[in-house]
Amino acid sequence: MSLEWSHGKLWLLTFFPGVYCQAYVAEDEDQTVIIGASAVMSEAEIKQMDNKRQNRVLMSVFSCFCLLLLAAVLPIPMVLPRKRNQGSPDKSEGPMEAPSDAPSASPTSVNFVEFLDILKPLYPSEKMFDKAFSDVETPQSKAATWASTVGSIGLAGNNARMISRFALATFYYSTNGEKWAHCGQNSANCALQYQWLGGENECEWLHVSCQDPQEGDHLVTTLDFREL
Amino acid sequence: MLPAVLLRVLTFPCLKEKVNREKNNVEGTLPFEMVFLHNLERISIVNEYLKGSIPHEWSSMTALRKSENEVAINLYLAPTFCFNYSTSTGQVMFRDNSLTGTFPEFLFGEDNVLEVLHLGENQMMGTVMPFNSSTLKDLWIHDNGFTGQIPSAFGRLQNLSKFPPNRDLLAFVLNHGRCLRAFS
Repeated sequence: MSLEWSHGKLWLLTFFPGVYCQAYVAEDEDQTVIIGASAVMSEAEIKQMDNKRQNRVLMSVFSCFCLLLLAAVLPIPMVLPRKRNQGSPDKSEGPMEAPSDAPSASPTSVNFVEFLDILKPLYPSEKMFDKAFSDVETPQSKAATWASTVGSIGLAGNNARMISRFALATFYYSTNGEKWAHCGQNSANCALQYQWLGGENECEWLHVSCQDPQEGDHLVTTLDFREL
Repeated sequence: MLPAVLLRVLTFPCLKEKVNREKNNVEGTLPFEMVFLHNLERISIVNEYLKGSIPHEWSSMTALRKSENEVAINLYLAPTFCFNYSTSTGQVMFRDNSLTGTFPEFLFGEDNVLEVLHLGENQMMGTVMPFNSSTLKDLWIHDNGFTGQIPSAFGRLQNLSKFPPNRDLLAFVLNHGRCLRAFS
């Protein structure tokens, strides 16, 4: 801040560039007294201020317009899907009443090598095990590949059921399952749930029956290929 | 004129099924890994293309032991209604395939509970070895390549009631929906 005397007026250079304070002073013999003060702006500054004010008004109007536009447009996509669903009776309009039955499947299946480690002690001899998995084309190798990948989804930790599914898969590959007339994997004449290696629940595969399937134990008790 | 009972035998529905039944193209060998199905009581694969022998390790199938269930092995082709077995009876039916090997006497271990063993119409060879069983009711080994004599020990199989020596002899007649032994 600086002080400047000029014809009975005291100019105070303020902290803000371009803005001055004009102080009116009265002088007598002994002292000088400030009797009034006002802010003083140049014409250019006033124009600049007017322009800013105009810009603010324009910005306000534009903002209001945008808000109105958003308010008018946003509800449209919220309404349209409902209209689309009205044509399909199997889709509910509201949210699901209950969560899905089970948590989503485990993202990772059992590792093939880990699965072989589980199987190995079950074989009567190491020689028999080695022979069974000597080649990727043996029924056991194919079955273990299936049982440790697609066939193990959601079964991580349930070794008993994985071994049971492996046994069924080994039977499938040992008996030319790919060419079965009925309900082999990807069979065109069989619903997915009844397809061997296709349906999630082996107790529903054609010819397979389990003990108390409702219990969830999946204990296979019967293989009856007389039933078609 | 044929006796009425024989006429009924000639129209035996259990034999008709063999003619009409559609094959599923089950072709290959029986894997050892079936022993992993610890609760397997019945397996019926008939009139198909199975080959090879019954794995010796099947003797350890737990559901075929005395521990929990009454089980039978039934290598045979016939609809279930031909037999009056309880639902818990296990059966293994492999009749009319191309199984080879010898008679699987190893299935009759010390604590076996087999009720039915049908091996008819396969290509098994060798002699039929004697075995003991207090539960065996049905034993079909006809139309194979077995040689030698029927073991005299079969006479001590107290529950054995159906034992057709070959397919040319009619073994059962249908009597009020039940299959009964007629000839042997």
